Amino acid sequence: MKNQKIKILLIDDEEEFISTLAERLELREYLCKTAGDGQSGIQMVEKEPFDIAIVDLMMPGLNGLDTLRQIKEINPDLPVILLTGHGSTKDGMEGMRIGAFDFLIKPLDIYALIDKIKLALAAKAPQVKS
Amino acid sequence: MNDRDDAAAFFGKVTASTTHELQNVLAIIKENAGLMEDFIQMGPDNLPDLLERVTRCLGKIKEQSYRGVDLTSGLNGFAHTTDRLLAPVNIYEIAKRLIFLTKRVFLQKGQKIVLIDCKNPPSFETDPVLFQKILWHSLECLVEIPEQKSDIRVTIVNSDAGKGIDLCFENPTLDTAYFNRQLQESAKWMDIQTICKEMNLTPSPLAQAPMGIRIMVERTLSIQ
Repeated sequence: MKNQKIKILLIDDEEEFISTLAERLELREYLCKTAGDGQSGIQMVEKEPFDIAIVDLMMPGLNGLDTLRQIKEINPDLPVILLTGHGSTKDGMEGMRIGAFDFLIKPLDIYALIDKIKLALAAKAPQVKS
Repeated sequence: MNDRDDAAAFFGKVTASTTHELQNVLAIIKENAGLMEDFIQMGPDNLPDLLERVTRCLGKIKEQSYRGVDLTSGLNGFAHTTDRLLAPVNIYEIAKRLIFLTKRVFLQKGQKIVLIDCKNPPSFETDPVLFQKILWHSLECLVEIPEQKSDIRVTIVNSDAGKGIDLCFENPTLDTAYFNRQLQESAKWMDIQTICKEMNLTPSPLAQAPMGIRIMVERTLSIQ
């Protein structure tokens, strides 16, 4: 699987966080698009195909769990990795119950995120572009 | 639950919200430090604008450090309000800090809290913890009114008529009778009234536009 073919959607209201994370992932030849809130992220999932979505749980307006539910309604096969704080692992577990592939705790380790992305994509391998 | 137990729950909510925001600050710092590492590993041969890129990351780290300092200073000041049962409280300053620390909680409910500047804010002696709890409950009360989605404006009252604080919203579509009914049925409004009575404060609904809650300091308290 070549990284340059993998398209990631990052949804988080912390603009500086997702723009920097996107830049780091792009240096590793992933394609990244960002959304600053759940509603915009959902609209992007409706309009264009992504291989994976990374969604923050604590967002103003539509929260991460509701964003996840709506993403899964539009595209049940899209793997979603949730981002959460230390105190919100319960929400991360709840997210997995409703269809998230996994969750990671902020601040992130980029290598742990990349491992998780690879695992998520391997799990849906037949549908991933090669 | 007594007033102080309830105050502990309130402190938990404020602390959770602030530390969550601090985690975001640290996450941004960590990602920018990681990005600098990435740039340095790539080296100047692959990145002719290496210095410019690293400088940009350093700028972001500095900016987030200031944000982190504001949050920890605010949280520290908030924590120290438990030091004394009776202390001088500057109404504007205490409201400003509480709104700064809790803005994320209300934004998540889709509401923005706006504090209006006050040039000559009044101070008075009271229990700072309970006073903050009254402000918090008042904000929650207004945010929880169904169909109330407007920004909440917080204004310090400092006139000959009295000193206090107004928490209001402009919503022309919301019926004043409906607002009053919702407020009177709210358990938080009942709490506010009980605590205010103990503290010699006078709460009242603002039933005409802008609707909201007014908390006034009784004249028997020492006001500066």
